[in-house]
Amino acid sequence: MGGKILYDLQDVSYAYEEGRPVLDGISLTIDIGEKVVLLGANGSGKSTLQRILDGLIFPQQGTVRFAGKELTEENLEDEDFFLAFRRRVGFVFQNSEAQLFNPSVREELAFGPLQLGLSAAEVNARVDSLLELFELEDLADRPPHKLSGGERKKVALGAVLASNPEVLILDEPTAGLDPRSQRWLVEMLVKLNQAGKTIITATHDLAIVPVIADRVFVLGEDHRLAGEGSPLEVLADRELLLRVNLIDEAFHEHHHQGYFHLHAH
Amino acid sequence: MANKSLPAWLLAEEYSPVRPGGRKRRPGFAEKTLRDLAHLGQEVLFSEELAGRRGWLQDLDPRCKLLSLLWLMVVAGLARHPLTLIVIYLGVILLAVQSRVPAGPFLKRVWLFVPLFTGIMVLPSLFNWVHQGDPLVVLFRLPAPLRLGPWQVPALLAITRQGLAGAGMLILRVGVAVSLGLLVTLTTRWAVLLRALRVLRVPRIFVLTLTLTYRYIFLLLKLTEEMFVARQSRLVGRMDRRMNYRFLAGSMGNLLARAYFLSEEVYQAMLARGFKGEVRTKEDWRLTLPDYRRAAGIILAGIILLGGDHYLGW
Amino acid sequence: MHIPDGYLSPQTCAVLGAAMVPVWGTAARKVKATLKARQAPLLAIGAAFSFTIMMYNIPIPDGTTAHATGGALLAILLGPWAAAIGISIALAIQALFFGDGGILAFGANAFNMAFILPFASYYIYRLLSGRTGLRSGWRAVAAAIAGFVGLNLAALAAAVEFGLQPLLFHTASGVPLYSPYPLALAVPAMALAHVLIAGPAEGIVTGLVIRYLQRVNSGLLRVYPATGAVVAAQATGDGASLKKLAWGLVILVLLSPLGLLAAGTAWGEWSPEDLQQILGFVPPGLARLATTWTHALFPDYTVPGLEGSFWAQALGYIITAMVGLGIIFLIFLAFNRLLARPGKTGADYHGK
Ligand SMILES: Nc1ncnc2c1ncn2[C@@H]1O[C@H](COP(=O)(O)OP(=O)(O)O)[C@@H](O)[C@H]1O
Ligand SMILES: [Mg+2]
Repeated sequence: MGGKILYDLQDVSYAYEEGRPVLDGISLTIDIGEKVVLLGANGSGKSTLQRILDGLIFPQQGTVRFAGKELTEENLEDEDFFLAFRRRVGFVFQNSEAQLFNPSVREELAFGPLQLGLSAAEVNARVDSLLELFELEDLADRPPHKLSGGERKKVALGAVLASNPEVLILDEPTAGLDPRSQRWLVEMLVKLNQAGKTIITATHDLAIVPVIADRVFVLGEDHRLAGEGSPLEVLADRELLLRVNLIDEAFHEHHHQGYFHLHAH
Repeated sequence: MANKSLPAWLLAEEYSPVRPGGRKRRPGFAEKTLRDLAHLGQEVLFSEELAGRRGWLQDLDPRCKLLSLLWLMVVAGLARHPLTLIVIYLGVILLAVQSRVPAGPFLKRVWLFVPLFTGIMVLPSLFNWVHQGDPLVVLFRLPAPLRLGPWQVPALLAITRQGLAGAGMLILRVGVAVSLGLLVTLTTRWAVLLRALRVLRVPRIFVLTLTLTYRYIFLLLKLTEEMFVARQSRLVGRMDRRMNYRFLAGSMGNLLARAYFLSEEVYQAMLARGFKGEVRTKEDWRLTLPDYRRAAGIILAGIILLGGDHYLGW
Repeated sequence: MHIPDGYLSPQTCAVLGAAMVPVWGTAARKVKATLKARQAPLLAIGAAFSFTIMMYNIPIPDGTTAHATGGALLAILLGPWAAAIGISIALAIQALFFGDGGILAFGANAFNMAFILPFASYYIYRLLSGRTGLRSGWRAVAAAIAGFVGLNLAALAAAVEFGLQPLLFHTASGVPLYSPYPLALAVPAMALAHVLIAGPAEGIVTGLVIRYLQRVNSGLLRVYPATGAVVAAQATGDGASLKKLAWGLVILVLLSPLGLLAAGTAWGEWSPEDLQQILGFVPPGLARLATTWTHALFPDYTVPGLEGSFWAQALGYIITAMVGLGIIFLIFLAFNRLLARPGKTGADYHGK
């Protein structure tokens, strides 16, 4: 907290179709080394916001600054800017099916480093150490379409980490994973954050929020920023969570106990 | 919402008993499609498994293998004498054995398929009514040439020497070509084969696209299979043609829309990892002496065969 | 219509493959200009779609089922150039990994199904649909017709390739080395099969999917032609690309005698009398058509004074090829003219 500002968004709005904004007047800042969560119901605009943070789409209104430089389509046309930015920011898509486009796990992991222009030896060394870290050695030559959901997510994360980015953006990383894989992933994210990476996770899974967030931004169904605060503040604010439709009246009685203790170490 | 009661029709129980007694169902387009999809899956498994074994061709550098087998295909294509084709085929069998390709499936695939399709296709050309030539076996002789309206048919119906020889050549040639193609497919992992294409001066963008295509074929095939299975499982009445077409249009349109959406996502995923329209790939293969020797052997054999073929004339 | 290896001489395959080189080159450039880095995933998924569509069994009116290529559909949706690449890639994968269609014959298959089919279908569709609205019912019909006709034209090209084999490649004693049927038999046989079976399947698929998209997802119908800016880029690029294409065709024409070299003596021995024999037993109507066709293309090529020499034949081959390509070129030019009239379409579509 209070560190150097990495992302600075001012009054950002985005619409896929004219007249139907998916993000409406979002202003927020994210510091270097921070771990933040974008919390919101399905369709509130989390993925869209992350795509803006990764410079894949560009807002019609407002400005996005990354490390003081404005992120615009024009700036990203610049070769040096493009490479430096891509090198620093990694994005794990929600749909690993789209993300894993190489014919084998090994090549998937090698794709990023190769684009960076590393030598073959360096690339191989990186790939091998990632395979080991993620316990993927046995799957190295498998095509991605023959992996399970959990394995696929691991490979997707590994593929992004392979270029050693400084910022990790993850879109609903735990969706569809079994409890063990979820736990593995969350612990890995914490470890990466402790190593200095900035982690930006979009999720509607309240259970993992306290572990992977220093700060939480809540997106409402009106596509505006509905709230902001520490995980404990946000999760305790039942009023807010109800308003953005993340929980309903029945939620408290049924689930309260389990949720807040699941990941307390 | 939860306290709304279920509508009456959902509570009714009016099911007919499960017992046979209807007409035999003919496999329709959906069953056929599902069967084809399953068959394709088995093919892929079979060849991936074989390509993973060790053997003469599997150990050969994929670039050398592709070029030398391609050269053999050209030789087989140019051959004018059946003996040449037979010798090439013997060589192909030898390569297959050395590469531990199981003989049964390898022979069956070629010699069940080729005579059936090619054979039926060339059958009419055996006869002099279709293809002129020296009669070899006379089937019958009419008293005079026949005129059937605009058609004129000669008196003699015979199998010709040229027809028979041509049919034999074609079947043999197609058999050899198919066997050679099969050897490539069965002994090379496709990921490797794709990279080998670079040697044939196929531009990067094509190879990249080809790679991506191969990757996404499986996804689209899976989507297709799911749609067809879902349809089969929800088939509660007989479908008429209109409904079939509506389903086909829906499933293809749906496939297309999802495919298009996916392509956008894939593009962003590639962009996010530093892709700028130009890929760098890992090319750290080195040719070894055995690679050179094996490739040279195959190429030399091809040249000798071509020479021999020319000498045999015909 | 996937021609396996062995039916066509390697020379034929080489000539058709060479014909595809300028097409692929121009297509890659055009697509690159319009799609930039987006091209690879879009084309790949187009190809994967085409591959998957070829797996579908389509019920056709005679009660059986047939396969479609999806090529006409791809051409209408992504434009003929992108379709040419997409279908080529689908064909390459079928040939290389599934033994469906020959490896040497890849050039021929690509020529028929990745060049003739998408271009013919696309221009027929544009011509028929004219200025009708994007959602007009007529467009689905136009798409079906385009698919049907496009596929039949591709089949005609395949039939011509087959039909040339016994004329060009046989032994001294008349044994055909490749596909044995002359044009007069190959063309009607292929026509029958494709008019009745494969053509309807292609037409049905194209028409149905266009109609479905009109109702459900009309955005996909606007992908091609792309935005105004891109159209402008294309327009400036057009001159250069036409020039390149023209050069490609010239090279192709000059290369065509290569087929002769390997055809060797068989070519020299071939005479109009042989032709008469080969064509002797077909319905006169067809025979007339066939002989006019073959006469126009082949027997008259020898230049007076050079009869019988290799160079004369080579020259004849070049002239023949030029005439053939010229006809194709004129047809496309005519289509282009006809289509240019209605003005720049699609310039106002497509948001960010
Ligand atoms: N490519 C797209 N085109 C049009 N609308 C889109 C597209 N992607 C998302 N949307 C719409 O934008 C809204 C926000 O989507 P998204 O950012 O994916 O939300 P979340 O990730 O919070 O579930 C949704 O209503 C969704 O339907
Ligand atoms: Mg989302």
